Amino acid sequence: MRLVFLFKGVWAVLAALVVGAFLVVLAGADPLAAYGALFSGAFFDYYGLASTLVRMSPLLLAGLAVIVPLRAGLFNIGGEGQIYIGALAGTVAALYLPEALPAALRLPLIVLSGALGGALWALIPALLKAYRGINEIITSLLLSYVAIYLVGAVIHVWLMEPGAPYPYSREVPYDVLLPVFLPRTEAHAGILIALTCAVVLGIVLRRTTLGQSITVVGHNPAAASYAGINVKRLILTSFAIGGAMAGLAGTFEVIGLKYRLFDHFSPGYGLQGIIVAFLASLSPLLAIVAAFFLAGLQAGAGAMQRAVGVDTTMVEALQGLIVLFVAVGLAFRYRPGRTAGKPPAGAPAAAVPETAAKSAEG
Amino acid sequence: MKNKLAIGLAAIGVAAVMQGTALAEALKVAVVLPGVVTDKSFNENVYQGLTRARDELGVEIAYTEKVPQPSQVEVMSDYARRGYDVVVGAGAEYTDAAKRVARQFPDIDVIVLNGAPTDGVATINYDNQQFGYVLGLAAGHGSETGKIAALSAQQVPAFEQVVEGYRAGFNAVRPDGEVLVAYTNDWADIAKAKEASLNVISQGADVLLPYLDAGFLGVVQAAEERDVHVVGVVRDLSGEYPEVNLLSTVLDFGGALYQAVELAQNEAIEPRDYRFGIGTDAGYLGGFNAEASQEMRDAVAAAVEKMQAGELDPSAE
Repeated sequence: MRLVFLFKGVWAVLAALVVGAFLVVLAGADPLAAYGALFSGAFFDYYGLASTLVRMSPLLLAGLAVIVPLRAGLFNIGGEGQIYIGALAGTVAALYLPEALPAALRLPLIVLSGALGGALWALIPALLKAYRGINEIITSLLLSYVAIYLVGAVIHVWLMEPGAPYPYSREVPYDVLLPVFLPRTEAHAGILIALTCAVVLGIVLRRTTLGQSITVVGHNPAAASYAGINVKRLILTSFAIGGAMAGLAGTFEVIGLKYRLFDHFSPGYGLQGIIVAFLASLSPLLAIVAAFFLAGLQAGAGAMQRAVGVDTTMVEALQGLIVLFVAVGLAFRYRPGRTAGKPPAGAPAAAVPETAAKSAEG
Repeated sequence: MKNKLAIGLAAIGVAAVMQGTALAEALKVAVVLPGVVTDKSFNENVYQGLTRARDELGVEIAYTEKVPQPSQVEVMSDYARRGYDVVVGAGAEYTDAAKRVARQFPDIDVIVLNGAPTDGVATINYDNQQFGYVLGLAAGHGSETGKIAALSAQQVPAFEQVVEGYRAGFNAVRPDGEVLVAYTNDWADIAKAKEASLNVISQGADVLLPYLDAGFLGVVQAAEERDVHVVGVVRDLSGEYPEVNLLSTVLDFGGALYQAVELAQNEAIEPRDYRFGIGTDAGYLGGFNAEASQEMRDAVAAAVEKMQAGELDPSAE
């Protein structure tokens, strides 16, 4: 019985796929053929798999950017902005670090400055929350728009390739591009770093004092404070770690994939990170699976369109359904002695932080 | 449930087998488009050329619509590594992405429609000044205010060349005439195009030149409302909008693409600039307004003749 509740994300995905099948029928296609093309294009094809991995990297990192602060009971909705600022910091480092330095030294500096950029941007809502009690959901979300347009402005006035028809920066030097680990694809080393980050954060949150303190603050800040935990410092730490992850996502998009900083380069990875976080029940390790799956949906969408003629926007609808069912799933909690499918009357569907944090522990 | 799973797996298997059999001998051509193939403008025109190549030349085709600038390289590279022999970026904004793809996949033909000449890439272009020039001449005879305008989404070289010829043609008739230029930042947005058009009309322009995809409709609507004229440069507006159309030229990008594919099929395409002048298969004069003066018609006909003979070069003025 417990297991049924453990894998709520799986049920949400299955429910979304079933409802999505009806949408495919409405679009005049065979759902089994559509899903067959979608998943074979995403997972059972060399280039498709590489493309899935390429998309997984920013999704996973953006998911981690949500998971760490949410374990401390705080919503980081501003992953998108942290991705942009991280990408900007990484690009500036890549373009302006003196070429006299060896690439082996510049590359880590670029990655670090990207992470630092994201972390600093995330610290703004964290400081406002810790010292003024201002709602971090609103500040982090709104700061995303500031970040996106700030990056656009910087590209326009400072970094823009001369004569370009669209605002994008000059190309970063070839010697600091991330190496590719699957031949003839764009699967770059940033994917491996993202996986490493997920594993390390999984261990940190479970096994270290820092991780335990974050969890305690998430459950009950007042009790944590009483127990001698510096709650303010933990708010800042968790947001900085999250922001650094998002900053890495942005930097890898530039030096791993696009080789330039484009205006509006992210198709909403920051917000999709929230889906990853909830699909993974706030576990960094499960986030790998969740990000891989969502990335596969996006990578396979093109193959589905070519095979059965269903528009790629169908996949966006599927993602929306997954969000919906994950949210519905939050209302159902494992309570020994109660029958499944009968939530307690007036189950607090809105009380997300506590519910989610608890379900993460199984 | 098990049954469904079996059917699902079978579907995956069938899909995999079908991908395997696609390794035919036909030339494989992929086109990456900025808009949708039903936009009644540039994208649709390119798509028609592509389907014509499939039907008449027997090539295998694929295309992707609505590819935003940051994703261009990914989409084009994906076609290149999946064995497409020819990868086409439809529009000047693909030039930079094409350069990178050509560098990464030297064995395939990379083509950009309307792009500036680029290393390793075949660019299909028009002598845009010539087309702009005849439209400018017509505007010179049609304008009452002495002010005309040109609208585009982005400041691409092809549009700047059109404007150069447009201005030269206009000033040939009205030496003191003024040409306004406006950008909407969106090839397909009709509302933005209409807003920009109303703006230049308020500034006194009474002939508008839209260099847009689906957005051209906003220019036509604004012209209809304010009773001014439009000169079409990409497609012939005289059939559908006889009232507002003053004169149109046709830039048949689909036809140009068809010719490029034909060259690629004969392994004769090279990474260089291909250029079509006015009065060729892929670029020619469209219709006049029914009330256009004989003077205007004669001036335009004479200019086309001179440009074809090489006696008039509007880009040199």
